[in-house]
Amino acid sequence: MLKYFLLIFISLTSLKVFSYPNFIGHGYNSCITCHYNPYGNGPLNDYGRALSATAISDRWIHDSNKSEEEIAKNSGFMYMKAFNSWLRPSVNYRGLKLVRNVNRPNEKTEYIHMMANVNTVVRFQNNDKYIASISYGYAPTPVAQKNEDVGNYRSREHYFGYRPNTNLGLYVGMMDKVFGIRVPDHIAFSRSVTELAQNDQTHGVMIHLIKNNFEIGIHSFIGSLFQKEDLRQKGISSKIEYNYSSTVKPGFSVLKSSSDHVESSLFSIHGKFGISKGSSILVELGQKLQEIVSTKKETSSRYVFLQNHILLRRGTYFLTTAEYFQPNIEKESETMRVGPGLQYFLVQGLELRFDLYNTKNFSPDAATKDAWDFTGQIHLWF
Amino acid sequence: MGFYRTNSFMVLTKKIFIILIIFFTSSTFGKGFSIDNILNLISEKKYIKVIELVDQSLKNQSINPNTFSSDTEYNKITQIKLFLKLESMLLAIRASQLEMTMARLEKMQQILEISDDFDLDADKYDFDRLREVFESESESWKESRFTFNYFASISYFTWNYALSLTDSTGENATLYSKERGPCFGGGIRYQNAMWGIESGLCYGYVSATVGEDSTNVKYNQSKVPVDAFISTTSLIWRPKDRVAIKIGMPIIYHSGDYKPPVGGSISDTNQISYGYLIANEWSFRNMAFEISYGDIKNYPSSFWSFKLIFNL
Repeated sequence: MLKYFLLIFISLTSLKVFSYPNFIGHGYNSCITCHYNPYGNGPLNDYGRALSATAISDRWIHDSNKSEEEIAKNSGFMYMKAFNSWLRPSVNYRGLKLVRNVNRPNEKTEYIHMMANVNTVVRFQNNDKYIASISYGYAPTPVAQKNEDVGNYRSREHYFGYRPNTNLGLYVGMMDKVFGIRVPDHIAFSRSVTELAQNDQTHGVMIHLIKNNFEIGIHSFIGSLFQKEDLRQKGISSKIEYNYSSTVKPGFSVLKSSSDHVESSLFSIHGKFGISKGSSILVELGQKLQEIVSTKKETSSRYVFLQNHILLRRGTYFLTTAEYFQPNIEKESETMRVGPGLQYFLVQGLELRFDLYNTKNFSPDAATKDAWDFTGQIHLWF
Repeated sequence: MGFYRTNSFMVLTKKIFIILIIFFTSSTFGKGFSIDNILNLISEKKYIKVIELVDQSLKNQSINPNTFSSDTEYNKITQIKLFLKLESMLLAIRASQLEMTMARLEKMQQILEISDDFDLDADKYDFDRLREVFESESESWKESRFTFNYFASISYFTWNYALSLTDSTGENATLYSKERGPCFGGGIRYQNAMWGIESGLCYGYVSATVGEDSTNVKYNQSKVPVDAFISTTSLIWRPKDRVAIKIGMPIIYHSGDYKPPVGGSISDTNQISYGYLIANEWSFRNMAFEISYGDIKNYPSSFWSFKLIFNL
């Protein structure tokens, strides 16, 4: 009984769930295994929900006699069995406690409701051949637009999907751009520098193809229709990955886009590696070329993202993230960030994650102090 | 697993009996395989004798009883003999009649690998069950087996070092020396599959950028050559195969060739210090990659290292 009280308490006091790319350590090397969107993010499909309830989450709340099959059966909306075959509702919440400049005079703590969404997936033929997915809810005002009225209630994802067979899919609507490894670390340079973070979804058409161990995505986009027209980044991106085995998946991505103000070209290579049961390494190296249209000024930047997860016990991962960023490859200034983290899936629908980030800036002109930041996340998905 | 402790033993004995019956109905069985003889051996738990008889029988067929290859085609009778050999080896090990060695482990592994191509009745010759027993045995053997390993390493590390500066007016200030570069070395490990201890030493020749932490003094110098010796002793924990988490104590000797300002001086350029670190490591065959981070006493920043390890 105490367990249930504790669960309710944690649920009331506090995060959102996805299956993450690090689950390649469990042998799941493709997002479509668990998500309606073939590149992850957004609602989980039935298999994804069952998997998150069993292989991924701790089972401390369940009686030891309860079978995994039984747990999987009750992994639907609000821990229920699927009540029909055409509607898949879910709710998501992710909150972040951010402490900047830890242990410094200018320490600053804030709590950010990163998202509170209601999601619905409609399966038109009672299967995943024709689907419509929409997520709508609260989203904080992006820092870059803090002086604008962008509205805090909006949809970050809505699309129609047509999947004539398991190897081919066509998706039309608002989605994340197809590029690189879609990690949930929004502050990662591979997400922020590339402008592929939590507020950078775009309207467009995406084709997903699996053939001869290759997984190929092509995304043609016209920018977010909720943005002013001159700001919309229009272009095309593509990601090609090769399933060398269930635990080794290298790939590369390209993206080219432009608005009235900025033109961007991105290229990255990445690899996802399962190391032993549940443990993995994700690595991405990328370069971005950006041109300011009015001044024709070009800047090239580089980044490296490296993250490993070590499965300590079911539901619990120890992780280390190491990042590198060179904002202008013609200059010697560089930033590196390393930090440990702990990720715990207490039960299906509840994830806790704690990360400590230690940032060092390198410049030929100055020796600066380290910066320390802490993040604690709670993620609920029902 | 309970394989030999429960009724499984009886089931196994019965299976061996059935196999032997099949063997004795075959003319391909060699000398020494009389039914009474084998039954006696089994009942007397003389598994090694059974292995010897199988080996002799394989030799009679001009088959090397110590090396098995998927390139070779084994007929049904030979497949049964290999089943019997593997099963007897596992029984002998569990009965402490045979000591597990790397050579025996590899031999059993070879039989299991080629057994995937066998066309025996899985109910009678359950290689999957033997595989489970083998994995359990090999795992517990590996866990209990401590070995010494030597390794060579190359790493890239960084830290901030603190210096004291006195300028020509007598004003004191702390300088930060931001240092990073490669470190070449090696070490030794004593470990089993789960736990271990390692000790390593590396020599780093790095480049430093120096700046002040004061508004009263202006000082900047870049590309200062620094020598460092880093000795680290760590405890190793392997929660899973091929990954490790370590807690270690680094001891560092630091020596930098800083140029003092005109009329002033810089002190604390040489120092021995110590600290702690946390590391995680991923292994790929004979190589491993390690990221470590920690804190060094009197150093005004954290310590990071990215290391490639080559097991010798």
